[in-house]
Amino acid sequence: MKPRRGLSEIVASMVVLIIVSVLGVMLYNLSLSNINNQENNLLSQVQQNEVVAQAKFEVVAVNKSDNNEVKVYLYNYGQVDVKISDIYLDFGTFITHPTFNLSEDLTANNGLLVTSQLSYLTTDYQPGVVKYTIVSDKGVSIEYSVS
Amino acid sequence: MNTPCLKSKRGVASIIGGVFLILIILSGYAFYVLTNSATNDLQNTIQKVSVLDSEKKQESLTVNYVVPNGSSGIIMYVTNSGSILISIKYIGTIDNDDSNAQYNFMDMDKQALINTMIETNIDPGKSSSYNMDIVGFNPSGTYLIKIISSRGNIFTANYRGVDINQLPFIAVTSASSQGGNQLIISGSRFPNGTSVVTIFRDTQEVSTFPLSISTSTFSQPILTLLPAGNYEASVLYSSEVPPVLTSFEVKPTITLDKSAGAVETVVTISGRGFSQLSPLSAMWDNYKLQFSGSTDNEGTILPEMAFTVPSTTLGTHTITIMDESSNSALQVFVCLGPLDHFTVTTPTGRAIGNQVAGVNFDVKVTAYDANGNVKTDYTGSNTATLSDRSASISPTSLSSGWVNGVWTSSDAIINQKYAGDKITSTDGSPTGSSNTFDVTAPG
Repeated sequence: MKPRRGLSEIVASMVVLIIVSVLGVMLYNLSLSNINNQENNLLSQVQQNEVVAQAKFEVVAVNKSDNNEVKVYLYNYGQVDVKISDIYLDFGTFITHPTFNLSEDLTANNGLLVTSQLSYLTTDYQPGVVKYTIVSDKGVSIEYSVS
Repeated sequence: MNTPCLKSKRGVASIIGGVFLILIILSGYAFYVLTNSATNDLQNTIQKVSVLDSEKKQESLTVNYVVPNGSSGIIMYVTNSGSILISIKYIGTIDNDDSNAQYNFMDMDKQALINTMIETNIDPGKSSSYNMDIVGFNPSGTYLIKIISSRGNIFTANYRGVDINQLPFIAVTSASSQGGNQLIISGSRFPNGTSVVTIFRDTQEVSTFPLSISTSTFSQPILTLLPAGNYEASVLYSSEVPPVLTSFEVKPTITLDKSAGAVETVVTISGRGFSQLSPLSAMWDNYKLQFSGSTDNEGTILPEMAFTVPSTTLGTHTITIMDESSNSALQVFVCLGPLDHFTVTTPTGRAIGNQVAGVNFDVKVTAYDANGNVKTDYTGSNTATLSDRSASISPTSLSSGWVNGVWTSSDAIINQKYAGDKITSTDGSPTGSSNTFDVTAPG
């Protein structure tokens, strides 16, 4: 009888050991997963913030010819290349979104000329201040007014 | 017997739990370290960008003047009036008078590669000038200028049209009166008053001297001896407008103490505008002369430089003096033969007209060698005489009074009337006569 008494203690200890181990592994995996997720989110956010901070460009000039061709001269003085994603023209009474040739990147420390033909504006265009909003893929936008 | 063994297994679960706890704490610490590192990186980047923004605000560029560069474009004079070095990235212009005009941008980095004299970086307090060619430039038009710095600042200026025919100008030329051996700076359309001339070589000032302008023009010799090279002259006459500039090249010039002579004649050479402290070589046509010469630290030939006329073909020869940088100057030298003949004319070289007996008249006798070159080294002799058919001319001796092979007199006189008279000059066998003329009786 004496040996059987000890067996139940061993089994109980083994059960407790297994339960603790399983719970421990689950808790560790959960913690590791959360930590990894938070780390990835943070790194991604930091990188994005860094890129946004380094993306800097200016509108040097805007030129509109008699045939309504608009030329926008840009200069990237930041530390990363920028891709211009959109250019909006605010005429005061309406905002338009013409198609510019935006295939080229605005590389760091370089200038870029983008053009668009605004032939459909010939009847709508009224002399006055036109606000250009240039939006980059880095989420940075610049406003420039032309009278 | 089993109790101690069972007792020892009781703490295993606690150990395993503790290990997991430590692992979780270590993971948390690793997360903290990574977060801290990422945050520091971001802070560093933001700080760099902040520095860039701060530097951008420190930039200031003053466009002092914008003036036409002839009819090809404009010259802009700028000063870095900020507290930080400015690097010029682009300069652009647009014609304000043309509603259809386009911007014309010049990439300064590319320009600096083409022309190493272009300085795109301007230190605080320093000035620089930039030429910009404009296609179809109208000097009397107006242009908007944009200067873009590497930090993204855009400085604007305006060019207001001027009549280029009214602008002051200067030029540097050689004084032909001195065989090109003197540089003259001259200018027009300046306000009367005093100004300053500055001579630059490779942007280094080499000479400066005051200038007095009256009647809106000036012409003044540059007394400084300049070695061979390319120079720029600048006349500053007002603090409100840029200096008037012109470029010029100093080329060597030489002078011979005699332009003609016989074989073995010693010819002394002087000259200027060669390279500094350079040995010189001399050529007689295509033959190298025995010549030892050099220049001083102003590019001037040292005194007592001479050569001896070699035995050669009589006639005209070219003397070339060259320094070690291949800067050269030449002069023509006529190698003279023995006295061959004379001519007898009026002082202007014309035929002698009819004369009146007993009345003075002008006569010129010129000595020549066989090649028809004036015997500039002929100085007369005791056997040189002047005679005429009436045998009544005076003077009769041509032993003195010769200058560069020419003897002249305004006191020649024929005392007897003679139809078909002729004056003859003789020195041994060489002889020569005038044209035939009549000498009539006085009254």
